[in-house]
Amino acid sequence: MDIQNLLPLVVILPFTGAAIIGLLGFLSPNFRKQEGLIGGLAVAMVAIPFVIYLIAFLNFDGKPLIFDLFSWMETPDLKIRFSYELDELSLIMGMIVTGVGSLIHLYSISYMHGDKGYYKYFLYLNLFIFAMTNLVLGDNLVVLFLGWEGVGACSYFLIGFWFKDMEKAKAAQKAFVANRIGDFALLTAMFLIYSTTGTLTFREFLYIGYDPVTLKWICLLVFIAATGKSAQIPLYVWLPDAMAGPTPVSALIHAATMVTSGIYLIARMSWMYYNAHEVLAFIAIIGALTAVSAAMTAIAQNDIKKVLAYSTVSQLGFMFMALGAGAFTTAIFHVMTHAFFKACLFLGSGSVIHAMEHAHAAPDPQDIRFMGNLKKYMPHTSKTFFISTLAIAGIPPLAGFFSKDEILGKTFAAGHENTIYYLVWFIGICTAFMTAFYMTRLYVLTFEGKERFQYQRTHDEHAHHEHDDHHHEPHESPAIITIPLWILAILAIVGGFLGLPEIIGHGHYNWISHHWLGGGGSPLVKNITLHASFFTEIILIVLSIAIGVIGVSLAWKLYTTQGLQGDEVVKSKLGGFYKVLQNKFYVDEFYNAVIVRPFVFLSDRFVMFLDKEIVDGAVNGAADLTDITGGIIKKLQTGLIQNYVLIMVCGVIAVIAYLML
Amino acid sequence: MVETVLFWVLAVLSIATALAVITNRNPMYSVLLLVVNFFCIGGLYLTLNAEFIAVIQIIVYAGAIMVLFLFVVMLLNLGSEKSLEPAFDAKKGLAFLLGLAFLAEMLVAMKDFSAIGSAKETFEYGKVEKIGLQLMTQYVYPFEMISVILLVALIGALMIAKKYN
Amino acid sequence: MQNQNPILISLSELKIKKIIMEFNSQFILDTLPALSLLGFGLIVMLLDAFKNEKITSVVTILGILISMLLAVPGVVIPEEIRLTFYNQIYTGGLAGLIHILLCLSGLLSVPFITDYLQKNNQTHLQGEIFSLILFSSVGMNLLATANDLMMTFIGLEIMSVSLYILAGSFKKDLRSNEASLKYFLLGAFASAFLLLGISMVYGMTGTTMLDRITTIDPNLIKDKFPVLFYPAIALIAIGFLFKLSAFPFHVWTPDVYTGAPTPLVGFMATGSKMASVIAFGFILNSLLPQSGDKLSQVIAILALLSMIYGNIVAAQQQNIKRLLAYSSISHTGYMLLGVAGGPEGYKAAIFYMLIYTFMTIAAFALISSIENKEEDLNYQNWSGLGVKNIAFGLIMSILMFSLAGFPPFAGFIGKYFVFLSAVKGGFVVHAVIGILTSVVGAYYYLKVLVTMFFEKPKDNIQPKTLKIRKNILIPIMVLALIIVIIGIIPAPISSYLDILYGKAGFLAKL
Repeated sequence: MDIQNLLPLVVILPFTGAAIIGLLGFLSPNFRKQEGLIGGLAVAMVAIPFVIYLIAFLNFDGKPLIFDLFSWMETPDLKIRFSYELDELSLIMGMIVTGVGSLIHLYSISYMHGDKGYYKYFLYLNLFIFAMTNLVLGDNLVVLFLGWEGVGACSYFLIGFWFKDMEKAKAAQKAFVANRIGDFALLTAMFLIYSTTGTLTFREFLYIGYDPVTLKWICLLVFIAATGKSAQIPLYVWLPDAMAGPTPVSALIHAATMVTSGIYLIARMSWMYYNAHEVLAFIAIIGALTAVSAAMTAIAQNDIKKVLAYSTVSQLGFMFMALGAGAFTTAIFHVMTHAFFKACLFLGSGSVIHAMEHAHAAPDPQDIRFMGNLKKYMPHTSKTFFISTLAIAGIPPLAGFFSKDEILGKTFAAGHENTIYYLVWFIGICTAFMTAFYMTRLYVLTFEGKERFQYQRTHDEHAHHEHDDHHHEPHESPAIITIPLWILAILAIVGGFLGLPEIIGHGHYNWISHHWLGGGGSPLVKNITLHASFFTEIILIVLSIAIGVIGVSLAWKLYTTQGLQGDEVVKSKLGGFYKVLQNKFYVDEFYNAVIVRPFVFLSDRFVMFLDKEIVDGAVNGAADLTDITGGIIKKLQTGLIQNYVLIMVCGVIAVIAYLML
Repeated sequence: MVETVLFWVLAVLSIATALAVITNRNPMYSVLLLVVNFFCIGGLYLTLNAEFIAVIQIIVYAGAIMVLFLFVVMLLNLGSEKSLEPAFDAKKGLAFLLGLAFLAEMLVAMKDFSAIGSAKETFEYGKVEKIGLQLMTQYVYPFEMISVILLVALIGALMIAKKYN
Repeated sequence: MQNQNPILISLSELKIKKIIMEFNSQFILDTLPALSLLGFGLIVMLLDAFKNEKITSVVTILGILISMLLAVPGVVIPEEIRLTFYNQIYTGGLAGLIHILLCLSGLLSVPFITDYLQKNNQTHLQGEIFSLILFSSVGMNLLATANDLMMTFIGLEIMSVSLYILAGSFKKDLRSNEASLKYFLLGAFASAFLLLGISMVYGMTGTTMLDRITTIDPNLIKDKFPVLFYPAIALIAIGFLFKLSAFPFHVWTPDVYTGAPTPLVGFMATGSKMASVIAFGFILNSLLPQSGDKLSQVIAILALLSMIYGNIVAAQQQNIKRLLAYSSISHTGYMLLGVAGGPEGYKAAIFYMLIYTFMTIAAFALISSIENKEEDLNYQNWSGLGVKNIAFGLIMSILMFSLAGFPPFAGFIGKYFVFLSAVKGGFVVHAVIGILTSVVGAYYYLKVLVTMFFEKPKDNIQPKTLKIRKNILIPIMVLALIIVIIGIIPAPISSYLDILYGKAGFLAKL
């Protein structure tokens, strides 16, 4: 069977899964109880596309595979088709989405067990994969935008999945609003592109010349869109709150896939960014600032998922640094490795949270201050978590080291052109150190040291709960949860070898940057390979290893010996600044004071007046006018057939008279 | 020659009966006079070699429609002539004016009238077999489809008349 | 032969021309879609006669489906549309598609009618009603695909007479009787206009065949018959405008739609209009091939008046059926604006009709599901209904949004294409006013939803049955789904219409 014929399935299957689950779930209450059936179906609808991608990947010959499903909308000036293009970039993104996606689907079968909205959860999850597929495969901006909005909507549904909790509903709303700002920018960029070129298909508008000002604006607007979806300054505030959703969702949407779509979009349009140097520098700076501020915030957080959320923001910042340095392939490389270890970390945290919830041991099952020594109870979770921690901290030879080192190297090399990149590089190094530190802190406080939780060892209080006594002790999650964890952990170990550093064989072994994404015909601009000298390269690598090792060992020593007191040490070192970090730089408060409150105030006073008196007045006036005229002319309809005939005859006479005269 | 004599006799007779129909006070007589009028017009068609229309005129109008008229007259039971006393009002005046306008229109139209061909030339077309041939070949589809209208009308009549339990 | 002017053909020449074609069995095959409908109509009648009423609805659906299938080959392998049966009627290609479109309204209505009859203990009417629906569909087919004006008229009459009877099929219901009588009397009146127009056209051209009329230069006719020409066209147009219920020939619409049995209104309001608009476009195009004529101005003005009148008066209605009746007048206006816009506009109008078919049948079906007594039709009594019965509220919302023309529902796409073609046809002002009137439309559609969702329920006056029965819930949901899908991805259907219309000969000239 020709792979070309199978390709439409990667789009159709997730949608079919969502449609079947949604329809049957809506119609039949019995279906809703068939958890195995729902979960199995949902997993299959993601796993099969993964296999298809894999086959396509193995048979890929450098020519983009284009498949066209059907026409969406046709007007004389604009024809939009559901048309997809599978090239190097979308293939690798597709594999990440469906590969990590199917593992997380699998994990969710157990994680969501017994939830009331079980079928809805999988409906959204499949729908998310469908939207994400549209986003990464669409060969024009409209299909991409459909996916862009689709993932946003799914993310909104899933953050607010337990919408009865007001906090969670609010978090969903926050995510939605922040994303809307980005979407608006993307739409504006689309209008700009369409009005300049008359097309929205990538291969038609990417490679042509623009005048510099238009180009700059398009690039800037697309970047603003990316800051919304990929949680960069100033729109990143929604991501930490988005942790209100179920943990697998955080792993899939808010760590591995959706949040990287901004990076994908910029990489996809790299041929345009390539010519907009100022915008690239701006991106690098924003990325660096986001990375460092998020990393600093993460040091002072106590919620296990919040720490991971800030670390995600920080890692996304790294990816933007890479983009800004013109190292587009490196950014995608980091997207991939990050997907592995961050998904593993999130899924691990989910496993921990489940265990803590079962134990009823802590006031808050997500607070690391009430954890500790969990490795005794959860060997698999702790091991995989440890591996991923080392990976994100940049310890060789784990995946994170290679991608992060490449980013730092490229940024440093870019400093030749523009000295601002040296600053970016320096911030990157600092962030890498902090990353190693806070991730180790997270691991140690969670899994090592003393137990800081108290579970009920006796069962007199809960005697009426049968079998409940087993549940008081935190315990390891079932295999269906630990297997995805291990797969991801292994990927986090070996994933880095796809991009070995330049010093080894002059980059010939950097498969991602040199062969796959950097090959001829790839949609990406090749890395702006500035040849840092061999010596510089060595120094950079050594520095990067040293930073990682120092960060890890420092935190390890501090927190294994001192436990929670370690935080006090950090606090004393940082002084008043620690409080700022704890409060996340007061950004939420700042936005509240500067944007939200004035806005509410305005809408309260001024807009209300405008709305009530003028707009409402006009609308009501129009409605009243309609009512009055309607009241008069409805009297034409008397109900008497003689009058009807008279009206018709008058009509006939009028028509003939008009035609004759 | 015979044709001309026949025409004048029938023409005068038909106008006379038509006048009698609207002037007669007894509706029964009016209806019967109308039958005579229809026969006269049928005769006129015959003089134009329009056999088919002549026959249709007799069958449909003099036959079916007049029977209907008679039924209506009997059902309405218009015994007293008083109720038919003419009373002049604005509506009738308007109707009269419209009638006059129609007459004027006819006269204007007649003024420019010229026969397309003589009766001899149209001889073939009024014949029953000609029309029959056309109906069964060229127009067989519409002709057969007219039966559907009748069928539908029958169903309608049935629905009105039928008593359901 | 073509360059001769048929007006000038003398009778002797005509004599030579009338060579009798051999009857060809191909004729039967070509007209099989219509004939099979007819056959199934007879079968349903017979089933009724032999007391097998229960299966009549199934047989009807089966019959319509078979008839549609018979038309499929011509559509799937898009052949040229061609004449058949002694040039009386078109077949193949677009004609096949038209047949399928016309059958849709019957097909979609049957489940709802069945349910409604059961609910009102009128199942004994099934045989008559379903056979009439089938016969009426035959009439629509003849009307829309006729080449001979006589055929057109016969088709129109078969369709209309069936509808007159259907409107009055609930004998004991006075309003139903009233609807039937009014529809019949006014319809007969309009038919007379149409027939008069046809006879005038025959008088001017010497033929009733549209393909032959098309070959004559209209200016030639105009010069020869200056007085007759426009009245003839006007009278024919009025015959159709009546069926389409355009202002001021709409007068029957509110009373008939209110009085006739609810799901039957869905059928009456859709199929007959679809057939009429297709025939209308076809005949106008043959009589007046160059667009931009005075006639298109008249149509545009009437379209505008229909929109304004329909929307403004609809806003006054409390009875939902009456509201939809007036709104249907405004929808006729939108569609006519497309017709006025020229050949692109015909396509837009037919596309609009298709969408309107789905929306209207679904809307009347949904209303019939909760209708038990007269007061249930007053939407003021529906306060809180949308919250109480989610399915009802949801589907009603989709329908109302779509009727009002909000994206992403099908109604928006239909309006978009119509207005686009109107603007291209030079009717910019009309389009702008049309869009403004649709804002008024949004006002009363949303008023229904506001009552349903945001007002406190008043239990004492609410409709008793709130649960939609399963056997009609699923068809309604399918319709709602179709509306959403067309709204999101309109291109497959609209571009298919384009292809077939491109192949149809009668638009190629323009």
